[in-house]
Order: sequence, then structure tokens, then C-alpha cells
Amino acid sequence: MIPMVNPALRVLPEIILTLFGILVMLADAVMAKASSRKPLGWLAVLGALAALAASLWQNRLPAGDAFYGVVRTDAFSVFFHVLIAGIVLASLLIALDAVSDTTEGLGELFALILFGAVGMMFMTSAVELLLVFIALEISSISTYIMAGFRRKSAKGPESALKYFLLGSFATAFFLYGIALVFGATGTTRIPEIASAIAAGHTPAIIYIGLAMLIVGLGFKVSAAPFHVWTPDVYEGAPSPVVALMSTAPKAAAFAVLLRIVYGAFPLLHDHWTPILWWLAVLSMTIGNLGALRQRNVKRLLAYSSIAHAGYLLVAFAALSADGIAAASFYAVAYAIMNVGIFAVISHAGGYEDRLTLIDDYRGLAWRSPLLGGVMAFFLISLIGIPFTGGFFGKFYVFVAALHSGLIWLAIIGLVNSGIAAWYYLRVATAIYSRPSESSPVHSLPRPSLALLLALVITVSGTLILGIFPGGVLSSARAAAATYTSVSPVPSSSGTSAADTTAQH
Amino acid sequence: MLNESILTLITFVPALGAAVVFLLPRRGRVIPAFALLVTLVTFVLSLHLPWHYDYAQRGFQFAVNVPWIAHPAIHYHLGIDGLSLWLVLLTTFLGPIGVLVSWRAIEHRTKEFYSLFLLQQTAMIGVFVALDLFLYYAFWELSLVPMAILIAMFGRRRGPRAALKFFVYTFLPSALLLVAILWLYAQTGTFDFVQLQARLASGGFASGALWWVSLAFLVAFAVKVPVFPLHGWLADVIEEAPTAMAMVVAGKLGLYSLFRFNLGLFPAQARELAPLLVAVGVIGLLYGALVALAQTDVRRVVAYAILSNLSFCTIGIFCFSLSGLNGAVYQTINEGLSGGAILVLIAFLYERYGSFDMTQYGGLASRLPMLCTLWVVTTLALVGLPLMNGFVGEFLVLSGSFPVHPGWIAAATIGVILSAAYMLWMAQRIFYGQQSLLVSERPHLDLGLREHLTLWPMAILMIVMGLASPFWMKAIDPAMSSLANHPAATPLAAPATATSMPEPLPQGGAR
Amino acid sequence: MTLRRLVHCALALTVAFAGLAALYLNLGAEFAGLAQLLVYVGAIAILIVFAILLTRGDDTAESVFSPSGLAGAILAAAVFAVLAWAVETSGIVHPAAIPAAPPEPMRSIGLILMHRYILPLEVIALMLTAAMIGAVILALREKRPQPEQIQRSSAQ
Repeated sequence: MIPMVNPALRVLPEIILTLFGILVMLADAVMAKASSRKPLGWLAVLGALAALAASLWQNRLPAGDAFYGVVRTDAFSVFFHVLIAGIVLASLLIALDAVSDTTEGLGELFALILFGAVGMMFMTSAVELLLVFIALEISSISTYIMAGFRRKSAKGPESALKYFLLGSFATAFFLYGIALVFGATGTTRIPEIASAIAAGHTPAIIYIGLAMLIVGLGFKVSAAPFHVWTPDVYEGAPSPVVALMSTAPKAAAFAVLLRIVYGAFPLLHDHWTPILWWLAVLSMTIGNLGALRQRNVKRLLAYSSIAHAGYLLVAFAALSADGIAAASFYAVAYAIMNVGIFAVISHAGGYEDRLTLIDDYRGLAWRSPLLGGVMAFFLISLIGIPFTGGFFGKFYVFVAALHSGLIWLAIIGLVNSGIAAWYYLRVATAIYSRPSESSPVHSLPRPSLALLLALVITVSGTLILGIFPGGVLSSARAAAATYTSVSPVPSSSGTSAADTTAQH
Repeated sequence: MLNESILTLITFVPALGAAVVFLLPRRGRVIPAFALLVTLVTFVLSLHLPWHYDYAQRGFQFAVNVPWIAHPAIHYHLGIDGLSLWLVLLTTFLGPIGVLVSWRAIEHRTKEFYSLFLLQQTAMIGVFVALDLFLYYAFWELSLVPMAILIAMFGRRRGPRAALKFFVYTFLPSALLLVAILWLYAQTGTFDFVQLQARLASGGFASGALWWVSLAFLVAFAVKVPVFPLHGWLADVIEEAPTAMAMVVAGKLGLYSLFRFNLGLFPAQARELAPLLVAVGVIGLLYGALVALAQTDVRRVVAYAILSNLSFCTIGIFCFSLSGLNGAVYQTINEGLSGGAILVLIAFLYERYGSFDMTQYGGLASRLPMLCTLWVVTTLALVGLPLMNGFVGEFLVLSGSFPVHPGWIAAATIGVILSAAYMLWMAQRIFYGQQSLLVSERPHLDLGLREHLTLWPMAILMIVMGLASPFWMKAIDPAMSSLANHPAATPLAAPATATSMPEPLPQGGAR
Repeated sequence: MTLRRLVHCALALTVAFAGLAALYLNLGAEFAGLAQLLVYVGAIAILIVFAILLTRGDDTAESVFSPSGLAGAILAAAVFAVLAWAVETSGIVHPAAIPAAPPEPMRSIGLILMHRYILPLEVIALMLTAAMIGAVILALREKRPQPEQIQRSSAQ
């Protein structure tokens, strides 16, 4: 029996974030109408820091369930908790840099970021599909609202509406999937589903249920062919919000997907690996080909995020502990570099997106060597150049894929990353071209303390992941190890080894 | 103690310098002076290598091998043999020269230029010393980035386009190279070059798959060299890049990798493809020479001359005779040296007259005697005059490969003659004949101290390498002899190299 | 569908909700039935009516029998017929033994909610908070251009 742990400690980061969120809202209400809301942002930053510390502290808890087996803290959930807390921290800093004192609804923005983070954290620690669903709704609702926060621009509300409609559609899929799985197995707890399947409860509807769960999550991680909302929403939402919503909810949704496919349905892997295989190929290819045609930087990054979701799915398809670890690691690497590049975009473009097209960024490095250099650095990491987190993440993903014998997936993926280099480089060369007289980069605001902090976090994070990935890697492997009891032996790796010996 | 850390020092001192450059003030010539200091320190450190190199011993020396990442098993494994020894030295030697040649040419954003330049040094040295495939690949890819940014930012008008072209040309095949490396890892569980070599030599791999893997390696390296049909980026890059980058962009990285990996890991597959590559090499040689003849822009002449010279190396490599391989290594070094020197000379000429069009020049010899002397020395080295370094390399390649592919090599000798033609013609048009308008209306400043310092070491080295080649060969020869066919087997191997292979490796049956 | 005034439509919807609740009660699902009654009939229907009253001043008269409406009605009837036939002929409707319902369904539901699902229940509160913030933001800021209107509505 697990030693008794106060159940509240198992949800400590969530509690902290909720409290800080409420605090922010209360403070917002009592503050003078005209006063700046930025201190609220710093309060939220404090909350994120506390949640980060609490998540790290959770590592010392023995793994186990709480609240009647609804949430579970283990290496896996802690890994993603830390990631989400970190992303929220960086996004809050970015938001603090981008907004002005007169931006509308700042208090609500900060509170929503914190509430959304609670949802994402619950997504990663829930082992009860109902809680997963509620958490998913919390995170989605807050991101829908934040996506439409910039009401003055025509694109803002439109993108928020599109996001809302398609997102609700996706959650409906997810809910229906839960219902079908419940119908098939009589439970919504993930471990119980696994044992029900092991006991032979596999009526046909369970496959439909699983497919629906995957479709619902596919929307959330913007995997092709469920990606259509991504470019519009990224374009319409304020950049600091995009920094958050392109990373944290996705990481959480990937965590859920990992929990579901490896935690609940490991025995049905013959059925879901082909689905994920195709999702990975489609996402990588459609994402990269779509990005090639973009002239708007945020749309380009939206397509690139679709492609990165594809790389991540490659690790899923690898079907091994290495694959889970690679997916988790990649989620971290991608989140850090993506938040980082949106920090630059949000500062250079501002809350109102002054810079939109690639051409607008022409000469950024000449005007501001710091911003240009950092942006180029993150582009390089997104391309996957060694000594950056992006490279090692991709490397590890494809190591896992090839270990499981997925040669074609690896080839498709790496050719894709070659194609991807082209459009990232278009941005990079624009940054390093000499600016024209009319270039809008001439009026860059001075970087604030918050931005510098965000950049330091993201740049050093990317470098550490690239040069000394050992620490994060061992955490990711520990997270993956929580599934070893249920994760099946990768059969394909066995066959490829057999091939070798046969040739011998 | 020093022997173990020396390679780490040589590799990372420039990177450290790059970081420091960022902290320096942008005042006066502080930054270039510091960069010069860093490169000189690196060069002095690298002199330790030939000094303490054990020429009698085979295998890798100055090795350091510590675990880096536990899983996947990646080691920080460095080491050099006779092949990489001289390439490391060539790189560190060209470092200070690169700084000196940029001294005047780069006036703005010096911080970015020199820190990226130093980073590029680290990447190139890293490629030569890394013995772990992951580490090697990391340096290999890293070497692309500073190069591309420098070309984009400090190149001429069309710099960004050339940088993009360069990057895409080299990055796409690198992606396949990564697949190949990962496949090897999946099959063997190691990235270590030495272990991999032993594992692959012991056989037991699907020869069809191995063939594809070796092809991925080959294409990635051939683009970087560049080998003939894959040379699309070369002329643009040489034309647009800042001189310090144009000097190092082609040749040694790709050729070294061909030696190390294609020949070292996949000897059987390399031999299968050898006839094709020799043919491609000869075609490239002739093509480069002919195109060079038709150019009027001096940079493009040099670009195609470089293509032509590098094709020589390809021929030497894929004949698998010991003298051919030795010649190819020697020629790789020569190309870095003489090709670099001619680009430096062109840069100095441009700084004076602001033109790359050789039709605008004429009669410079009487006005700039020193520049002219050094130009001619370099030209003679490039065309392979006896007693110069180029002669040694070309002679070894031709003599080593003639018995293997007499027909092709006979054609290649035409290329040698053509190269003499265009190089001498270029010198003639610039320095002799009537003084042109451009020349007569500008003031005539012969070489200054900085320029002397830049050029003389190169010129002296060209002559010394021509006279005292055994000094270099005693390291190269043992390294190459393990890659070559048996010396006795060479003459017999004329029609089909694959049949007379010394090691009975499994031949590609199933494909 | 056939009613002309929107308010009537809303009231008809309420009746439909009530019918559904009666159906639930009939099937022995007291909790679902009462919840349906309270939530849908009690709250949502009233909300809809309020919303209609607040937003729509006048009703537009539409033609009642459009061809597409007729087609929809026929289609709905057909679907109903097929489903009814399917249900009637399948064996589920007349199982051999109906599993005994728990003696106190309300009590057990309450126990489950307060025990096993206590955390999701609490977390739903957070979700509703977030949704409410969103609704407030989206609704209120629409009116910011006319501040006097806000004052008037808050005064009422």
C-alpha cells in the first residue's frame, strides 16, 4: 500500500494556480479603474513560479492516485506539470512585455492564463476520462476567449469563433469517444479500461471510441487533417497568447494522448499505430508544404507547428518506452523554442501585430542585433541544427522510430525537415538582409525586463536541451518508465533484428 | 595530460572566443584584433599535434572518449589520424588569414561577423576531430549555419539568395545522412566510428540496406565537396560570399568525410560506385576547366577552377590506389591553401579597384609588383608546376589512377592543360598587356604590412609543400594505406576494382 | 416549426423538455428526470425566453410552409419510423430480466458524485468560472462604446 499522502498535495500546483487566478481577479476588481494592470501580471508570474516549484516538489511524492483514483502523480504527470508551468511563466512574461497599460481586460487575461493552466495540468495528471474531459474544456474555453481578446482587429473575433466552433466539435468527438469506451468497458478510469481490455472486453464500439478519442485530440494538437483552424487562429490571436496556446495545450493534449494510447489501449496497438502513422505523415507533409506558401510569419509558424506535431506523432508510432520518452522530450524542446520565437514576434510586432509579413521582418538583425539574433537562433532550432533543443528532440524521435524499424517514417520525416529548412530560412534571410528605408522594423520598442527574462529562459533552455540534454532526457525516460508495465514490447524492432540475423 | 585535452582545446577555443566577442565593446579594431588573437592561439595550440604525433603508430591519437549522453549512447569521442591531422592544421592555419583578409572588408556589424567566423572555425575543426557519428553530424550541420548567415549578411548584393541556395543544397542531403546514421545506430547500437568500422567490417548486414546507407553518405558529402553534377551552389557562393568564407566553403569538409566514412565504413559499396565517380570526376574536371575559360568575372573563374581541382581529388579517391589516395589528400590540402590564396589575392585586388571583371584590368604588373609576384606564385601552384605543392598532388593522383582507368585519366590530363590555360590567361589579362583605364585612373598602392602577413605564409607553405612533401606524407601514407587496395593488387585491378578487393566483404547480392 | 412567433417556439420547446422529463421519470430514472425538469424546464427555458425578450423587439413574419420545411418534416417522420421499427423489433426492448435498479438511485448518485467524482465536480466550478469570464468579456465589451447604456441597464 502506498504511504498516505494528503490528497491535496497531489493537486498542489493546480490549487496554487487557482488561488492565484482568483487573487488576480479579486485584485482586478478592487483596483482603481485607471491604474495599470501590469502588477497583476507580476502577481500571476509569481503564481506560475510557485506552481513550478510545487510541480518540481511533487517529484518527491511517491507515485500514486488521489481523490478515489481520479488524479495520479507520477514521473509522467510531474514532467508535464513542470513543462506547463514553465510555458505559462514564459508566456506571462511575454504578455507583460507586449501589452500596454491601456490594453483592455488585462486582469481577465492573466486570470484566464492561470485558469487555463489549471486545466492543462489536470489533463496531464488525470487518469479518469471524465476529469480529462473537464480539464480539456477548461483549457479550451480559456484559450478560445484569449484567442479573441484583441477585439479591435477584424481577424480576432473571427478566429476566436472559428476556433470555438471547431474546438467544440472536437471536444464533442472526445466526449462521444468517452461514452463509447464506457459503453464497451463499463469504466472511464484509464487503468481499468486497460484491464477490461486485457480481460477481453473488446466489442466493436471500443474501436470507434478509440478513433473518436484520437480525432478529438488530433484537433487539439492540430495534427493534419484536423489542422484547418490553426493558421487562422494564430494569425488572429495576440502573439503572447499564441506563444501559450501553440505550446501548453498541445503539450497537455499530447500527454493525454500518451496516457490514453499507452495507458488505456496498449493492447490495441495494432489498431492505433497505423492511425498515428498516417497522422504523423500527413501532419508533417501538409504542415511543411503549407508553410512553404505562406508570406505571413504567424501563419507560417502555424503550419510549422502542424509539422512539428507530426514529428511528435512519429515518436508515438514508435511504440516503445523510447518513443514515449522521445515524445515527451520533443514536447519540451518544441515548446521552449516556439515560446521563444513568439517572444520575439510579440515584442517586435507588439500586441497589435505591426509586423505580419516576412518582408516586414527584413533587416531586424540590423536594427536590433539582439532580437534578430535570438529569432534566427530559434529558427535554427526549429530547423533542427545541432546543439539546439530542436535538433536533439528530432534526433531522439527518429532514433526511437528507427529502433522500431520505421525506416520510411524516418525518411519521410527527415526529408520533411529538409523542406522545412527552406521556409525557416526565408525568414532568417529576411532578418539578416539589409533593411529598406520603409521597413517597419525601424520603430522597435525597447526590450523590457520581462522580455529579457523570457528570452533568457527560452534561449538557455534551448541550448541546454541541445548540448546537455541528459537531465531532461532522464526525466523523460523516467516519465516513460511509468508505462513499462503496460507498454508492449515493440514487435517491429524484433523483426528488424531478426532480419539482420537472417542476412547473417 | 595535454595530449588528452589538446583536441578539446583546439576545437572549443574559437567557440569560447566567439562568446567573448559578444561582450567586447564595438570600438576601433578591438574585435578583429581579438579574433586574430584567438585564431593565432588556436593555430599555436594545433602545432602541438604534428609535434607530438606518433608517426609510427596507426589508429587515432590524442583521443578523448567520455560518455556524453547515456541514452542513446553518445560519447564525446575525439581523435585524429594522419588524414585529419593536416586538415585540422590547415583549418587553424587559415583562421588568422581569414581574420586578416576581413580586416578592412568588414566594417559594420563586426561583432556578428567575427563571432560567427570563430564559431565556424569550431564547427570545421569539430568535423575533423569528431569520432562519434552524432558528434560528427552535429559539427557537420553546425558548420552550415554560421557560413550561411555570414554569406547572407556580409555577402554581396545577392548574398541572401546564395546563402539560401547553399543551405538548401547541403541541408537536404544531410537529412538523409541523418537517416543513414540513425539506421546504423539502430542496427549496431553505437555511434562510435571505431566500433562501427569493426562491426561493419565483420559483415552480417543486409547488403541492400547497407548500399542505400552508403549512398546517403556519399550524396551528402558529394554535395558539400562539390562533385560535378551537384555543384550548383558553388559558383554563386564563391561569387557572393565574403572572402574569409569563400576560402573555406568548398573542398576539405566534404572530401574528408568521403575519406573517413565512405571509404572507412563502406569500402565495398564505395568500390561498387567507383567507376561512376571516376567518370563524374573527369567530367567535372573538364567541365570546370571549360566553363572557367569562358568566364570574365575572376571570382567565377576561380569558382570553376576550384570545381575542377576538387574533381581531381574525387578521381584520386575512387581509384583506391595508395598513391592516388595520398595524392587526393595532398590535393585537398593544396586546394584549401592555393584556392584560398587566390581568393585572398582577388579580394585585395577588389579593395583597390572595385571590380571583379578581368576585362577591365590590364598592365598591373608594373604598378603592383608584389601583388603580381604572389599572384603568379599562386597561379603556378594551382596549375601544378613542378616544385610547387600542386604538382605533388596532381602527379600522385594521375600516376596512381592511370593504371586503373587509363582512358579516363588520359582525358583528365587534358583538364590539367586547360587549367594551366585559364589560370595563366587570367594572370596575363590582369597583370600584363596595356594598362587599362581602370588601372591608370586609380592610385597604386602595393601590398601593405597586413597583406604581406596574409599572403606570405601561404606562399611559403605552397613552396615548402612542393619541396618537402615527405614530411606531410609520413602521416598521410599510413592513414591511407588501410583504405587503399593492396599495392600489389592495384595494377591487376584495372578493369573491375570490385573483383580484386583485399577484404572478402559480402558483395551486394540482394538489392 | 410551424409557429410564427419566436416566443411560442420557446414555449413549445419547454413543453418538449417537460415531455422528455416525464419520459425519464417513466423509465425509472428519477434523477435524470428531475434534473431535466429543474435545469431545462426551470432554468434554460426561462433563459431562452428572457433572451428573446431582451434581444428581439419585433418578429418577422415568415411563410410557414416552405417546401424545404415540408421535406424536413417528411424526412424526420421517416427517420422516426425506421428507428421505431428497429427498436420495436430488436430484442433489447423485451429483455428476459431487467437488472434491478439500485434501491435509492438519488442517494447513490449523490454518493458517487461526492466520493468518486468529487474532484471533477469541483473542477467543473473552475470551468464555469472561466466560461463566465469569457461570456462577461465578450458581452460587456461590446457595449463599451455606449457607456450610458450600461448605466441604464445596471440601474434597472
